[in-house]
Amino acid sequence: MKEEECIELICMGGKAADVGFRALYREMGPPMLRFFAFNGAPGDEAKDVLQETIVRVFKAASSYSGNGSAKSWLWQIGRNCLADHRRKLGRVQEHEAVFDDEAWGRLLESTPDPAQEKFLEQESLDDCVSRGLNAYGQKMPDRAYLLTLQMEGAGIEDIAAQIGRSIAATKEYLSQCRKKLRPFISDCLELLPA
Amino acid sequence: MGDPINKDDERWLEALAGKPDLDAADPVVAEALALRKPLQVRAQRLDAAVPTADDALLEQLRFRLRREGLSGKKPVFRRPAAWALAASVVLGVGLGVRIGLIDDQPGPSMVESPGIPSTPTEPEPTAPEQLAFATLVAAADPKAMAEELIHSMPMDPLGREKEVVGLGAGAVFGIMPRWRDRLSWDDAKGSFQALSGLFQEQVESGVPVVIELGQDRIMLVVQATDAMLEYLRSQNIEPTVTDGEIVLLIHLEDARPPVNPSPDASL
Repeated sequence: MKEEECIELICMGGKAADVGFRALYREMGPPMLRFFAFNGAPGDEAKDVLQETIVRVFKAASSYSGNGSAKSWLWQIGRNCLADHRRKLGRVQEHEAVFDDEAWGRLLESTPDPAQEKFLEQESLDDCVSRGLNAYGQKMPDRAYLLTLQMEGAGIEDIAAQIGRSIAATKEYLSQCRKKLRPFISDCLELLPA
Repeated sequence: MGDPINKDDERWLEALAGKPDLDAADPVVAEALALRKPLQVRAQRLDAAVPTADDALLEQLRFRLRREGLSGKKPVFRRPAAWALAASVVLGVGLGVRIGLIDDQPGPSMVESPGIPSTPTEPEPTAPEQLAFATLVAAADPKAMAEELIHSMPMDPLGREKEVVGLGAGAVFGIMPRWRDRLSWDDAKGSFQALSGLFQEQVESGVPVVIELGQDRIMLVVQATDAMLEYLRSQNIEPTVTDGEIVLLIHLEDARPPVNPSPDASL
């Protein structure tokens, strides 16, 4: 079922709304949870943000005009809810430093990084890049997440919908992600085989 | 327009995505390939903190919807036309009241900015998805809706007057410099560059900016404060927040937004 149809069903209320909600949850739940978790709302926080997103979708469904992609509209609501969540927690508002040290520390504690431990013995190219990526992801989680999506082969349309940009602007943004990453891994590039 | 990405970046992104048949000896490709494994490892680690969208969470969500009274409730309006009609009725009443109340006070003025060239031709419409940075709002009377919105908006913390800047039909098609790459508005680039500083300063200082793009087309830029978000949602508008700001593109209902076609439309 397409997102537009889900919204239509939600607008109809009653059992139809429940069907629309379930379909929407199946389609958008997993990627949104991942987006939230990768962008500063790990674990139960991601669930909370998804809950707010769904509530807001229900409240705003009747105002969805049908102009533009429903998926983009849903992601827009999700991004707004994530931003609200960050504000509520008093996290840094600058959009490139949303994942503060405390949140990052909590995440790292719960999921130890084997690459960091290995680094103490002998740093390989992978270890060096991992270290740079971690620092980059801490400073710019949204950009690191986009590079992850790109690495996983996500379509440019999907990435564009998630960040609310046009396709051309998304490509440009990805290119900027590379430039922003470079200082974090510049010393590793010397380890590349000649 | 923003600079198109160069061939190195393109190759780098392709290699990062694991596209085969790339020359691994190419330093750009090698750099991207060196990232793939660490990125995968990092993603696996972070994925451990991603909750599963399971039945338990589904039930939690359903419970929340019931608690909010949203489950089983039928909304009053579905079609934008119905909403716009209702909005215009409220708007008419609201404006009438406002005019009566502030009759002896200076209201916002739509002033022409001298020295700003207008675009002579009407731009072609574009697909709404290209305006992902903006929030589209359909209205029976866009100008009246813009006026009503800014007069009901929460005042900025310093209590300054809200200012309305009218630039004439087709004068600009974008506002902030960093949004230039998201719109095609070559004709208006000069105008835009001349004015962007003014807009940026205003918006960042908490003063809403209204730009009249032409008949029945209004662009409204405001700071995305909590109060503003709450206010817009109370008006049934779900805003897109871009770099701490909100752009509302208010257009005549059933009309498409007023922006030149973007080159990426063919992508």
